[in-house]
Amino acid sequence: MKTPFLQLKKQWSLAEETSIQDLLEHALNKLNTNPNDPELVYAIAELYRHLDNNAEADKFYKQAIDITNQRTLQRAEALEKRVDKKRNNIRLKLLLFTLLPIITGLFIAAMIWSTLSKPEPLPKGSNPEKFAFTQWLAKQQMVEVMSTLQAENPELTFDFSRSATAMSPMEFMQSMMQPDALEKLRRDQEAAKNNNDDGEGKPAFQCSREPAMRCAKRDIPSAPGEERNEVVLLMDAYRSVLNTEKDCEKIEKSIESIGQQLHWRKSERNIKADLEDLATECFYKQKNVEKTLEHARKLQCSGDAGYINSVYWYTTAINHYADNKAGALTAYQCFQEATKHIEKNELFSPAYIASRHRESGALAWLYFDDLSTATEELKKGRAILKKIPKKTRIMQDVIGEINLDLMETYVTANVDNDEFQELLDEINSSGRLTDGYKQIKDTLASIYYMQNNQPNTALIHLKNLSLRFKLIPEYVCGWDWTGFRRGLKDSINDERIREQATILVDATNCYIPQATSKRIEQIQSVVKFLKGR
Amino acid sequence: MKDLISLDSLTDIVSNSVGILIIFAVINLIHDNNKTYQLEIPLEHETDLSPVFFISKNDRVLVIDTDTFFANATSQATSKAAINKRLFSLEYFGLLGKIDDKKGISFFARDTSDWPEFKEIEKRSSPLRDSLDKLDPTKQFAYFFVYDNIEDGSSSGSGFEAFRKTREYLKSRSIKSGWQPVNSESPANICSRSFSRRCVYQPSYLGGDSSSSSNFNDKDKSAENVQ
Repeated sequence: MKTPFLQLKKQWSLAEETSIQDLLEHALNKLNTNPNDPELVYAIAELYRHLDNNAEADKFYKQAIDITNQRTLQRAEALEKRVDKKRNNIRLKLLLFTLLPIITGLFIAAMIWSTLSKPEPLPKGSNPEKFAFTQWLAKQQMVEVMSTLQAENPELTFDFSRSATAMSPMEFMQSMMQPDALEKLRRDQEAAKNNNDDGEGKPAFQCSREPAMRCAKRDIPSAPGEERNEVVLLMDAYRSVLNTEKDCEKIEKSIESIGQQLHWRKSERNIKADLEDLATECFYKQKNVEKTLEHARKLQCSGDAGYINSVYWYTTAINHYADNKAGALTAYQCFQEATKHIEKNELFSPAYIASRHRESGALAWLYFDDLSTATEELKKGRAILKKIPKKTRIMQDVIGEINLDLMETYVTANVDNDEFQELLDEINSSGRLTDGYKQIKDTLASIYYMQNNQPNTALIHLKNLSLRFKLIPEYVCGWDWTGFRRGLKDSINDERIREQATILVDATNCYIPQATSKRIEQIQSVVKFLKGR
Repeated sequence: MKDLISLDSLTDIVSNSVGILIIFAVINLIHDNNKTYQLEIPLEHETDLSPVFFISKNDRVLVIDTDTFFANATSQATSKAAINKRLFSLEYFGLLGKIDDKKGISFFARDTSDWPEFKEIEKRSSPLRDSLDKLDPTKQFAYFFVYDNIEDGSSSGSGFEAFRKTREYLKSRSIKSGWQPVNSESPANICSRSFSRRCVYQPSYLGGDSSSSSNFNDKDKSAENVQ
């Protein structure tokens, strides 16, 4: 039989045979020391129940329930306190994180304000004109100067919108600071009065041999503002498309519509000039006299010094084509004047100036039959680049082109063999000639050796010429043989050799449209002639 | 029985037939060895021709009207939509543009649904074929930007099939062509040669009966003495 309250007896270290009555007494004794123990009270209640004392049992059962309730309430209160404490902590953190960015912002603002409040030191070697205080002071002075001018000269007006001069207020103020500023202002006003209502202005370069260029306002890039980088990049890309365009009217239309969209700024005049240069070249290639002159004028009106020589190159060539000898001569003289202008003012790189001398030589030879000026100009260009120790690729390209031009004059003048050979060796060793230029070089060399009774050497060059025509997929060149072909009459006495030289010139003339096979056929006929001698 | 069935005649017939076939094969082999094949090596070369740009994507080909294209781009550039290398709409067949100093103007093709399908070339009259027929072989060449990304619903999975078909059609009209592969990371772009050597658009595929085509059969060619 199972002993009742065995677990309790073990817990309290009592013998198993201890009676329930003794167990109760022991429990009541324990209750004196620990009256709020619900388990003990419950155990006493159970003991009373086993002794059939139900009244006492109920009393202790109720007491156990009361004690348990009190403990539950105490636990709930403790939990409530812990929750309150946790909530307070969270509130504190939230407040801190909300205020932290504001505090940081205020701190940064305070730091910036403190830095900006410090006086700006002028950096060593910097431009004082860029100094904020100088600019502010200049603006104040400008206002004062203009007010004085306006008061003293009520007839003067100041307009800083798109004008022919397109000076910013700052530029205008600086010009006003010069000693003869007022006089200059009056002169400009006079000039403006003399112009017609179309808003005419002056181009950047004025040749002394021709009257002042009259430019329509829309042809002058005059809007204020800095160069727009994305416009520059876009127009560069567009130029690469228009560069090979054969439809000149299309180029003209494109320039017009782009101009209307962009309202060319003065700072972007080189882009406008670049596009006008394309149009001028295109119409020149078509030998459209009127349009070439029109776009050359627009090119000049764009006011970019880098294209002045281009203007006079095309006007010389097209006037010569139109049999306007006087016009061609004036344009050529202006070309030379422009070259001197850019050379004197050191506006451009040596390669650019050398190229202009090369063009000057080419014009003298092509249109004025002046071999000595041509040679002189070419040598001048060559000398500019030769004296530079470290040559860039562009310089080497220009030297290559000048040498080729010089070679043409050497063949026409039939210089002595050593001089010719020296030049030919330099050209061959440069490694900078395109396939098109190599064809010109071999044509000239073969003609030189033909007229100097060296048929075997001439045959080597003719073989190169013929072979290259077979290999190159497209013959691209820009060589004008007009002057050389004309000069053959005087340079080669032997009529048969002159005839062969003419055949070669026509075979390598890229402006004569013909199939490559036809070109090779003509070269082979000259080879046959030389082998038959 | 042995006398009734003799295989001698059959053996003769078979051996003669095989012998004749071997002779034919040897003759063909000799003939083939003497045959010269014309191979076109697609090397890019300098040209005086003007490029006409095409974009080929998702079995469709778009001919770019550069006048409209640049007019729209200019309009956006003046409205400052193109500043700071921002993407802007070219308002041209769903193309997006971007201007930067490395690639000039780049353009990204997105939706190609309104581009002509390359199969239109086979039709006698279609906008695509009309555009191709307008090209002048003495003045122009075609330059293709070919997408090679895979799109759903594309039979070839890219613009290559459209590019090849269009190029073959142009070749039959003696029009030269060049190309470059593009994708969304290396988009099609037009820039100035002065920027970079990559900004060069040249033909590599010669026109059909171009007068200037090379003679690859010439056995006598030698590069000796060529400077």
